Amino acid sequence: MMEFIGHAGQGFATALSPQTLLFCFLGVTAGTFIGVLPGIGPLATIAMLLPLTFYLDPTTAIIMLAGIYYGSQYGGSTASILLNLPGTAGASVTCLDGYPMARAGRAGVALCITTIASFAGGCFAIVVMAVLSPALSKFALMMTSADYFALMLLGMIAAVTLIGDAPLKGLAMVVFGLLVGLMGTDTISGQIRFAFDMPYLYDGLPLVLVAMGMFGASEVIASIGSDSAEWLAKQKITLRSLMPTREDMRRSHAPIWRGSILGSLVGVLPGAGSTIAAFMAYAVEKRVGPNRDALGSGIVEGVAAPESANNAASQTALIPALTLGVPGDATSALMLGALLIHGIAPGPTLIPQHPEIFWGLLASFWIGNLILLILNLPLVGLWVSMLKIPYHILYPGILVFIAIGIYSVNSSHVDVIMVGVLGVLGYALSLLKFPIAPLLLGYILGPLMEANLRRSLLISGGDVSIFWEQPLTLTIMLLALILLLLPLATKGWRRRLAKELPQD
Amino acid sequence: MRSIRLEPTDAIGGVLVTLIGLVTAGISSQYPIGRISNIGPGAFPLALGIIMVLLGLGIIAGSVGRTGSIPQPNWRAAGVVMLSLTCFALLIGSFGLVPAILVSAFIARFADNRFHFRRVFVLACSLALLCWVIFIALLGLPIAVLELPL
Repeated sequence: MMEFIGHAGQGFATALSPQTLLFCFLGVTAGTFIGVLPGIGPLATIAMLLPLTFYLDPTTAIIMLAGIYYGSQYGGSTASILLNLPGTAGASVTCLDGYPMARAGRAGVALCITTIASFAGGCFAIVVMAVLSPALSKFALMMTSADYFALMLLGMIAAVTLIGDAPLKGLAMVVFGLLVGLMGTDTISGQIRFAFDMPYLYDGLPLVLVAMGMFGASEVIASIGSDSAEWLAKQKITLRSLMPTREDMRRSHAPIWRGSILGSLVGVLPGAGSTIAAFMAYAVEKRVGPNRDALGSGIVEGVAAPESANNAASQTALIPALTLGVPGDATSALMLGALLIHGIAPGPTLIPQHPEIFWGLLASFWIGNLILLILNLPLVGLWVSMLKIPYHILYPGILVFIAIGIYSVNSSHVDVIMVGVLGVLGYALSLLKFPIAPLLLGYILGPLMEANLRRSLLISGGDVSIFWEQPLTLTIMLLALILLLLPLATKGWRRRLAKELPQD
Repeated sequence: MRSIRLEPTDAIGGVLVTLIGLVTAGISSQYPIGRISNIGPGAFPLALGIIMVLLGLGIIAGSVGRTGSIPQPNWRAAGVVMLSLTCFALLIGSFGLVPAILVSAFIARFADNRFHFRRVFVLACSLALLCWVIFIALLGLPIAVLELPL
């Protein structure tokens, strides 16, 4: 216990230094600023803002990233409530009750409850993270390369079969991502792979390019021609209208608790992430909530439950990413990639070797949450006016921002053009209704997975039974198999769920 | 004549995935495959290529007998975004940040029909100013603001 307090103290000491506090604040602000833009989800926001952190030292950079992460999620909820334009699948649950509330003139209350629920969910999840991560990382030290391979397989399969209605397409995107991740020089044999005789690709395709192109540039292409809702211009959101009534607060209390607990649990599972958490929290409200029949018509419970679950899960999703080095969803994969860029290899050794980073990160998560709470309630008017900027004025700015961000990384012209190419590719894939996020997960896992496969086979001397001999490996493999077959078994269940959660 | 109904996004997507899988498998089989106890750089991508072919065929099979439509692609937007980024890339090295921003913002506005010269000019200039403040003045990025190659 004393050790724990010592660590927490150390974390706060790191996170509370004026410099890190400033960057956390900047991250939250910038994240909300970009995240609130319609159609731009947390992934795109983090991808676009990632280069801003390259000039900072690793600890500060990660803390700023955490701020961006939070800000982008909060901004995304704002856009979903006010415009019914969810940036992510997870945020679409918030739309179900948030948007009707906004139409009924209670947008301010919905936003306020969102902020409070997110804060509560985040706080709960941070405690879970502080307790669970060190234990998990001790456990992870005993894991073999075959276990890791199995775990990555499980994560990838879970990420596509649990969400999305086209599991085959999702799997194809994961595999495509794995292949993109393998581009460039193979570290073991020195063989150059998939470079198409272009020296530019000998080092592979950098994460920033893939993320910015596939999420940033392609979102811009997809959103051109769309415009924000007319009715919003007439909405007035004042600080007074934000204040939830005593009744609202009382009714949100239990859903927030349920959402936080459920979200924290679901988030740790590989591949599940915040989307599933939000859906499940809503489904639970639909079953046990005292006002379950009114859900969907715009009541606070419908906002409080998914938002707290969403935020709690996106927090605990970082537990496997940080302690095992195996991200569960695309967003934590991006965070993992960002850590790698800063020379930190997440995994079982992160906590023992870089305690200042882990505990600093945790403390800054909490501070990021707090800054959000303080920043967003008074500034909600500003975010709303952001939403009122017509898109045709906004997108040249976003585009220029992407271009400068990319150019600042390597001062390379080819990089900027490459982002355009990837953007068009991402746009084409989304036209064909391929989910793009699994690609990023595959991209991050590609080299890791291959390395663990090679190592396992080397250790076993070519005996493939290493992948099912040990009980732990076998269990993970079986789980992966079950999840792979899940879409076949749950067609009926999915249809029922789709009926229960109308996606107008 | 009886025609077979295919869901177009799945049919086209499936063909695309199959092709990528085939190309991948073809390329990776040229790399050393190694032995099972010490697999070479070709083995993992070869396996992935084969999996991708199977997935692609599965997606095509799933498209049979369903109907659907592909969303109308906005190729103009895609082209303009590409052109805008390319111009930015070509200008920033030899002319500096401000000309690159002005030109790429200007081009970007061609993506939709509401093009007013004066408004675009104001937009481009304010963007240039904003970016200068954020990236050069605040963040101190080592990018030349304006260069005149003589």
